[in-house]
Amino acid sequence: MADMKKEKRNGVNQWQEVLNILIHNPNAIIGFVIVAVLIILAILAPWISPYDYLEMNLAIAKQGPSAAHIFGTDDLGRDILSRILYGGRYSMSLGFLSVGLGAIVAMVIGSIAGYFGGWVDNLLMRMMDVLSAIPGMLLSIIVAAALGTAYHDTVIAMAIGNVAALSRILRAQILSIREKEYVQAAKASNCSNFRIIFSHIIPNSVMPMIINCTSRLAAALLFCASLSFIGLGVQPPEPEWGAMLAGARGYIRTYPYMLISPGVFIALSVVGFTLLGDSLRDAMDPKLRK
Amino acid sequence: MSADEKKKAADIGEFLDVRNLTVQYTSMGSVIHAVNGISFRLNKGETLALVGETGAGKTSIAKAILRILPDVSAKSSGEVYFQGADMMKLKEKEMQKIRGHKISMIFQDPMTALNPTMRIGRQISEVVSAHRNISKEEAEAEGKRMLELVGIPAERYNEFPHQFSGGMKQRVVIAIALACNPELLLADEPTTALDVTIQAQVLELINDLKERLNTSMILITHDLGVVNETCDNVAVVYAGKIIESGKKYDVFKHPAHPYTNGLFGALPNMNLNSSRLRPIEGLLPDPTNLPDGCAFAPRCPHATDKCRKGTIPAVELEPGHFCECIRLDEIRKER
Amino acid sequence: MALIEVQHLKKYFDVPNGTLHAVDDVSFKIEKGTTMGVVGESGCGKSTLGTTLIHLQESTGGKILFEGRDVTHLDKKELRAYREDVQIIFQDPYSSLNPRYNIARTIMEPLEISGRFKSKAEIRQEADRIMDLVGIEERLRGSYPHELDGGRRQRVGIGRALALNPKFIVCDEPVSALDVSIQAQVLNLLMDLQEQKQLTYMFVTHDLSVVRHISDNICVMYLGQLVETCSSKKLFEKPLHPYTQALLSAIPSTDVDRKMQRVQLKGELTSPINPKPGCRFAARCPYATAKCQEPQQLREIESGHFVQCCRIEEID
Repeated sequence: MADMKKEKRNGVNQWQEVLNILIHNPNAIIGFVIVAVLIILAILAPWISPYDYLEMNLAIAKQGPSAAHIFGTDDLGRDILSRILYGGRYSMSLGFLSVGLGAIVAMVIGSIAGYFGGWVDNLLMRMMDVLSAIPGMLLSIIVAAALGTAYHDTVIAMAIGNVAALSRILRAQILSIREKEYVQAAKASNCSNFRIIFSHIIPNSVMPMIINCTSRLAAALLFCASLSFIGLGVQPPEPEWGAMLAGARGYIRTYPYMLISPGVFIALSVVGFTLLGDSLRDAMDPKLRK
Repeated sequence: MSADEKKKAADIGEFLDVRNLTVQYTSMGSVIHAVNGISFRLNKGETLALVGETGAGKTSIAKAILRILPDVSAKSSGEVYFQGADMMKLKEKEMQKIRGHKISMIFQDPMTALNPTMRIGRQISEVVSAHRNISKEEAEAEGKRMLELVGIPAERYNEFPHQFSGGMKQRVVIAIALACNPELLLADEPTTALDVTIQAQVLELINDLKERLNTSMILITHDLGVVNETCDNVAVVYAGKIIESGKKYDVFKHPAHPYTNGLFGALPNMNLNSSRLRPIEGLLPDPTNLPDGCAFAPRCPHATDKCRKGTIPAVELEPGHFCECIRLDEIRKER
Repeated sequence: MALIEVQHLKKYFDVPNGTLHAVDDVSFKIEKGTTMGVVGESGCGKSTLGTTLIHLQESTGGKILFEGRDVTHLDKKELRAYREDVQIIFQDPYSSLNPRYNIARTIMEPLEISGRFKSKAEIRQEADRIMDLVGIEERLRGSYPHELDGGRRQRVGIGRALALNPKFIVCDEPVSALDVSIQAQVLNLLMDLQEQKQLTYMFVTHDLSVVRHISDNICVMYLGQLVETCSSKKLFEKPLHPYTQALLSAIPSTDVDRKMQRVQLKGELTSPINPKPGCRFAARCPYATAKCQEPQQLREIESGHFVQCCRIEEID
């Protein structure tokens, strides 16, 4: 079967093929739409928020959804919709940045460990072992408590939890690619180590890591919410979906609408990233293509 | 039975009669025509070789006979009469009674054909227990007997697959396939993954068992040497069709179809003295886009426009030796 | 003077259970413009021999001579120069090409690195010339490996090996993964190229019928040891070593009229890890005696025909 190729389309590299597959997958489209809408809303927040998200007005506090305030107002009279939109900026950006930073650090560690092997590999991987011995949440709490609650501190605290697992995934892939014949052929062609790592090995190793990152995005959003929930992460009065959930804790029975909006948005974003991640993994799996 | 049915029943081969078998796979919007109307018969005690290259559709034929094609993507049609009954019409429960019992299959890769977490003895006795109503001890005794039969000491009954080499794993696979003394054995490239000296041992084993147990066999392979050593009849498969078939001696001595000739010519035969091989130009056809007429025409040095239209009928060259080509006479004159 | 000469070459690997003797005391010569076939079954060390010769792995012992010069140990600069003289073609057309490079780039890369060309246009021109040579159509030159069939990918692999203008190419089972009808095309290409460019090949394969067509001389290996070497013609007419005889008789023949006399070997391959001294084939050899446990020598039995077997004269 493998020798039967359609020779009409040529020059289509693997990324384009993956895109082709994704376009035909309804799950991928739904996931993509959800994520795209959330990102657009977050970017446009300053222009489309009906009210200033910090403006308090105790007179209209704790009011349910109305024509003036579509999602209602919270306990301090702030418009929930505006806070959701701005909160999205924090949640989404923290999610992307923390996973992105974790991935970059993991790439450096994983490729050095994987390509050079020996004691360097041993040292780096044992360090990663120590890191993964600490439960993720606890690790982030420790780091956040140590560094503080500024925005960049929160990014670092969240990123650290990703580094160990991602570097291991990348390293495993590199170990397998390293033995591939095209890498041997590159060596035989006098390719420098640098070229081999960056042109041959890394581009072919990133897929599993990317797929893992998409599911980590979903987890990061939940994580961010959890951090805010316990008082670390984004601090009041800045809005963040998790923080908003935390703030609404006391009003579960009396004013449930305060919980519903942030809860729904958290759930929606997780669903979106998961759908996208799942279909991306399926699209990249060569065995499923047969 | 009505007169019509009786007449039809009389034409059906006694042992295995495959009629107009078609298999299609759907994948990502395109349809792969793997098997395109194949018919052949097998008599009891005989061995038929299905010869062809990658993607010719040979494995699909075997899987269609056993009805183990993937449900979702594969569609098969046609009739497969086994001992008089059309298996394509049987219910799944009835097929389960046949698989492993009356018809067994050996798959290509011995490395992945065995369950790595189950002891090999149990993998054999499992098949026995599934089809016969016997006690555990009796099934185990049967398992050990089968091991000895394939040349593995019975003491190794409780070992795991990873403790065996490739050749021995394949012997275990053969033991599992023959455990219930099937009437028909389907072997899909059983020795391709093995070293040549081990292949010789395994082929000898298969031949020996075949004779002793009088098992009929369909052997799928691309190796004409293996065909010569083990089979009575040959069917050459190209793009899902049998383009030449007959007794081994006839097909090997007087190959008629240009593709069959190409296969023999492309072989670096030990006895040939030419310095250059005669390759077949071009590539295997795209099964999602098969050409009209003869599928081999794009590569055939003798093709004419007539070859590229319509269905090519089979011609009987000598008793039992068929070939699907309309230019045989002209080609013979050209030589 | 032979182009390549190998003297008592050894390549051992450290494995958890001990030492794996992949290549153990192998000696032979390859003359310029000829093809040396290296045959044997799994675990005989033929692929390791190839990769060690071109320094993709470092040898553990013995000597390698190239054009009379000792190239067993090379520093960085010498290695760079050596690599322009010796190249390799791999077996698996599916894993020997970088899936992210289109084939033009695969062939241009070694050209870029060699520094022989001044402009990108020159590099592209040379790459086109090479792709013409190996028979890749123009319309396919922007394609990616997964869009091509095995035969074409292998042509790309051959083109890449030719890019640096080598004198010697190790062909590691280059046609084993291809269909029979495509095999013939690629083999013919290799033979044409050898004539045109006066190339020297070491052709590693397990397929004896293929090796007969393409080789002038053949080395037969078993578990890291070289058991027999002579001209291709002699090997098939009059194989001397018991293993060679068994190997040749094990091949299923396509001749309907002849009934093959088969030498059946008993047992399985022994382990190449921490092997005992002496002939490694003895465990399966129908002629083995106690003498076979002693360390063996490669001896010239007839002119140009070397065999490593202490009982050759007695067996007949």
